[in-house]
Amino acid sequence: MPKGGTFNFGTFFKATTGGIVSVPYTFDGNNGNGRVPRSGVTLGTDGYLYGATLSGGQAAGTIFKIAPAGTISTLYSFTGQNGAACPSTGKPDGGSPYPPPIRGKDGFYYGVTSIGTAYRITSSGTFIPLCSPSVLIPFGALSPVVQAIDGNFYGTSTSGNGTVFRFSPSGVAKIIHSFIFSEGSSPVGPVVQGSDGNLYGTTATGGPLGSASGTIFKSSLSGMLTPFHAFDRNNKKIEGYGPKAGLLEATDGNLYGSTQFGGDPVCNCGVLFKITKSGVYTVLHTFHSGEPSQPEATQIQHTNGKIYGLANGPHYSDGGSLYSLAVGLKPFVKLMTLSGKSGQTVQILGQGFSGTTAVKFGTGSANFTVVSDTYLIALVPATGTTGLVTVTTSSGTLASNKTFKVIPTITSFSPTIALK
Amino acid sequence: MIINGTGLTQTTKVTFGGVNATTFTVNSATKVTATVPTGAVDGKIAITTPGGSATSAETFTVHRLAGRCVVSNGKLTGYCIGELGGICHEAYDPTHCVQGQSVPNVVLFQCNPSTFTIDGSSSCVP
Repeated sequence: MPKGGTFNFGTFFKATTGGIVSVPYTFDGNNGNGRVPRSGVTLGTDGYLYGATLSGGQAAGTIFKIAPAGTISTLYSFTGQNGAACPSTGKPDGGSPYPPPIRGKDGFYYGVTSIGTAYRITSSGTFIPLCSPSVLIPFGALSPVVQAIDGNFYGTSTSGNGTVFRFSPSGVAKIIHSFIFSEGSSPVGPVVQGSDGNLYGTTATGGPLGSASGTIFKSSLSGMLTPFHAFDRNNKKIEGYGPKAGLLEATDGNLYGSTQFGGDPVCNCGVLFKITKSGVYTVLHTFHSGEPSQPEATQIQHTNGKIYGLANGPHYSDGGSLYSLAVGLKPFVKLMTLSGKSGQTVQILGQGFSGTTAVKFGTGSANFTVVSDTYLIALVPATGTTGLVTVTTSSGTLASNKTFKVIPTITSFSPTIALK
Repeated sequence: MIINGTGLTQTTKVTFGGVNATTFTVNSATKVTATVPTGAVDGKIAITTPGGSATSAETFTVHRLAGRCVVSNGKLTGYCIGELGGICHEAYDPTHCVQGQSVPNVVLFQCNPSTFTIDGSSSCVP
């Protein structure tokens, strides 16, 4: 939470699926630590959560890691000074980061700051600014990047009408799309890569109708934008408008999101919606007075199948609220890594693991160790195949929400010489 | 050619020095049998599956036969390698050629009698 807590510098909170909230850490800005964590945190394979603070630290915000029990360590403090980190380009090391870094497939953490920089950082705090002269991260990136299947990172920025940009792990960056107002403006939320390969996102304003109500957009990885959905506060206010949050692709393949405004005409507190890949838009819930209101945060799907999100309200000044939305989706398991070779460890999150009898990678049975009722580790079996990972528990078989790629290996071959 | 490894169940392609295998059979998740293509060149062996690809650490080498070769009971026992200057060589000791000594770990996949002669009455192993 970016605000509140003893010092009003925000808090790190934990919530059960039933909504019991505890606060393991309160941001105080002391001891070089940051303050005002503007976004959420990223779960690392080491069990720590990684995040960023907008301010505090040495000068211009921090990157931190925090244990679930609340022990925080500042990994890096931004100086925000030109040339401090990238003498050859005169670029600053970054500053005022809104989003947390995300975990790349290579195990490094990658992020962007709102002053137009990208960085890579290790879990021990070795900070590498992505200084290539070709880095053209636009100003005003307010949401986390996403690593697409091509290995590049994609994000949005709000400068001008907004952009969708990408950068490679080595820092080669490109703006793949600059919005014109009729396509939407102010993409505050992140993009998500759908299972069809396309990027999906939202803009908080702009759109084709001149009503400045925001849009949902679809883009190829090369930046080809397709009109997808336009909000219209003048004629369809009850369908919501002004989405600031990004979209979630849930296990049914549909996209879920929220609008900050619209819905109940009196409350104007926003709606929760679903949109199919073919563009069929449905309001799932309208926030009324006394309920959570005006959500701005991207939803997540818990492994219990339900969707969870944060919102303001019930009254705008009353701090925040956490809501859940049941959409009839089954429990699943989440994989912390999505590819690996035989013998590599894969961390699996879910629930009801205590009585697990089998873990399979595609058709291959794996050795596994149950660590807790919600966490187990499995070894990729030599017989593993690319496909879903399944966990058979006493209450049924849970499948992963994403495909795991089994990378083959060659250990030997014979004969080694051919004559012709 | 027998290739051992892991995660081979969904193999879609096998290459020798970048040249596709003539045919291949997935025997198990850890074993693939492939036929060396006639156009094979020195290089790594690679296997592709939907999950990615694997490349052998060792190099597979292809030698062109020249000169006199010895085959008895259908088994190659000694040979000469044209690329090395027409000097007789033995598979694991390229300094000399030992006739009558068996040469394991070698596949003879293409015989051209016009470039070498076969000792005795045995025929070339295809």
